[in-house]
Amino acid sequence: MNDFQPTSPMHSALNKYSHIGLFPLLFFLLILSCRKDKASDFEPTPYDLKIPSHFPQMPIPANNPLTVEGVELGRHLFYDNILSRDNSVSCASCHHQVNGFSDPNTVSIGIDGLVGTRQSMALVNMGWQQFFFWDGRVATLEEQIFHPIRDPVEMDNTWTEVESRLRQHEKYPEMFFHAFGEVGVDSIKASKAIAQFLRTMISAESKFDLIYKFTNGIPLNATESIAFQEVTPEELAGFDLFMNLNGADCMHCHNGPLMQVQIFSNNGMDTEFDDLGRKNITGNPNDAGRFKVPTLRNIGYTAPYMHDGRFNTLEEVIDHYSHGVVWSPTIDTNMEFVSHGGVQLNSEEKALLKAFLLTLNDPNFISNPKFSNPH
Amino acid sequence: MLNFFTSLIKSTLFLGLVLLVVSCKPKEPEQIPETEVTLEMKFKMMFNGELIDLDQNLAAPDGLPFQIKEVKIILTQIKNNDLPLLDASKMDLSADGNTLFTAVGKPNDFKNLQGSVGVVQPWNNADPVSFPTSSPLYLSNVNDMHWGWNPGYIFYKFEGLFGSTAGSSELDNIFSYHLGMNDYLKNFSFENIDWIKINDSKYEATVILHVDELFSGPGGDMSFSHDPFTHSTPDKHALNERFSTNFAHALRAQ
Repeated sequence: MNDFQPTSPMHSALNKYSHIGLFPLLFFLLILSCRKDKASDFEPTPYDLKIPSHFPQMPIPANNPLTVEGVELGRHLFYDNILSRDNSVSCASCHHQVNGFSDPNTVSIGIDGLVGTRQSMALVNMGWQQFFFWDGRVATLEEQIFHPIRDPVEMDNTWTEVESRLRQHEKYPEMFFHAFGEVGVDSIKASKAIAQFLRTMISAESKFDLIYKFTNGIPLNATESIAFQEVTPEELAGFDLFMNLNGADCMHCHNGPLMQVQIFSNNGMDTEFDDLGRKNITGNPNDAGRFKVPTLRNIGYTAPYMHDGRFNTLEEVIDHYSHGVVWSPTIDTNMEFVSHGGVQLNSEEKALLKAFLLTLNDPNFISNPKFSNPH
Repeated sequence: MLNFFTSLIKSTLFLGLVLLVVSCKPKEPEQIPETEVTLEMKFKMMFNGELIDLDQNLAAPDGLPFQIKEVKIILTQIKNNDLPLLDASKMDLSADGNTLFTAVGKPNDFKNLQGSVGVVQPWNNADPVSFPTSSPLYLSNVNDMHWGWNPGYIFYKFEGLFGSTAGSSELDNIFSYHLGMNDYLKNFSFENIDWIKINDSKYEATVILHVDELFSGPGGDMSFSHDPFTHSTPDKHALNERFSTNFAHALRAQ
């Protein structure tokens, strides 16, 4: 009986050159595999993110450390219309720096002039947010960035198309290489870069920051001490009202250096809901009409207000909490004054409260060139 | 033949007697392991002897309907048999955070816990970003349980809706008890904790908030209709003292 003879081309080749021996070939392959890829020769520069002393530490994912090049790539992408289907819309289309990275439109307008259903949330201190969008449907900044590109009323694109455009772009492949120290453009890197940029958008240089430090006994430096002299008695009186449980009672939901607590709330605007908010995500009827509590930082720049942009001015907002609160079964239990329609501020108190709210504006934030359009 | 039947009857009676004795033998108490297992202490609520959930329809002693919407508690300086166990724990019935602690050890070594209901001084008035980032007292973790450096942390929240008509199911009012401030710090002592076997490697015990005892306890009686709110301000001192005394008493290990 004949032994089985291999007949495939590979076996034939191996037989033919078996006298040479496999060892040199394997050695050559080993050397090749050990050769350092040119891409890894470049190390992105770590970004020195300054966290304000009165802020908590920012949780940054271990797989997306900030780099100078990554932040810069993220800034370019944030302002680039290339992300949208017809190259007409960028992230900045609905998040204008001059408006505190919010949108002056009542609700946002996306591709083809399509009108959304909610007001653009202000982008500020994003690195501390524990959930994203008004309904909190996303838990990480990196994941959040995937959504607007695919949303049919925002950018209406596919990430496959975005990747293709970025790969063919004259500058982006090199920027991706510098941002991540390796060759390759993909959606995950794009979202990471934009997330890096958003994490740098820290607002902590408002008059409120001085008030916060002063009232909590945090030493002010020389510059801050001089600036604190410009805080007016009306602004301080408004702060007292803001924090007072028998005053404006705002502090239950807007507190701490971030000027928000991270909860969902029905703040008594409607007896029935056109937009079910958080319930759309959880399915829990107790979440009907609840929306993410936003920060009040830069509130003077970010009109209109509320998830549907129904209030055009701070006066209208204050009037709502003062006299316009209505009952519904899912009302936030912090809205204790609902039986009186609100906290019942008089006109003088309303003016004081507004004066304080405007101290939350951070002029340096909306004029910071590091956050501006690089194109 | 007669002998055979007699023997059969005797044997059957004997066997029945043996089975009766065996079946009546008292059950051995469950063996508490002397090896280390995972121990988890959960937080739950009871009302009139029944376990209850948030958003459940209930009736107060005065007949008014109510639903509890949120219960959060901070305990600090938790000791196990007078030895430090945990600096702080935040329990939240509305989230996954309804665990007081998880540890690895022998159940019999965790039979008695002591500590404070609320945040002890000087932590209560410290900078909330000065704690380790993993601490429940760290600003990002404590979230809505912090008023500010002064007056400090909200020790516990007990919030919900109640109706103004006894016997009705309609809820048209809010109750909200936010207790904090150094004056209202109370102690707790959970004694003879009963660890229940979940599986060979895990045992659970439960801290129960007996909600019915909030209405009537050693601090005195209270009702939603008379005292629907407190934020621990001085003008509510009597209610603050009554509620905080009842709350600490109503919090017991099962």
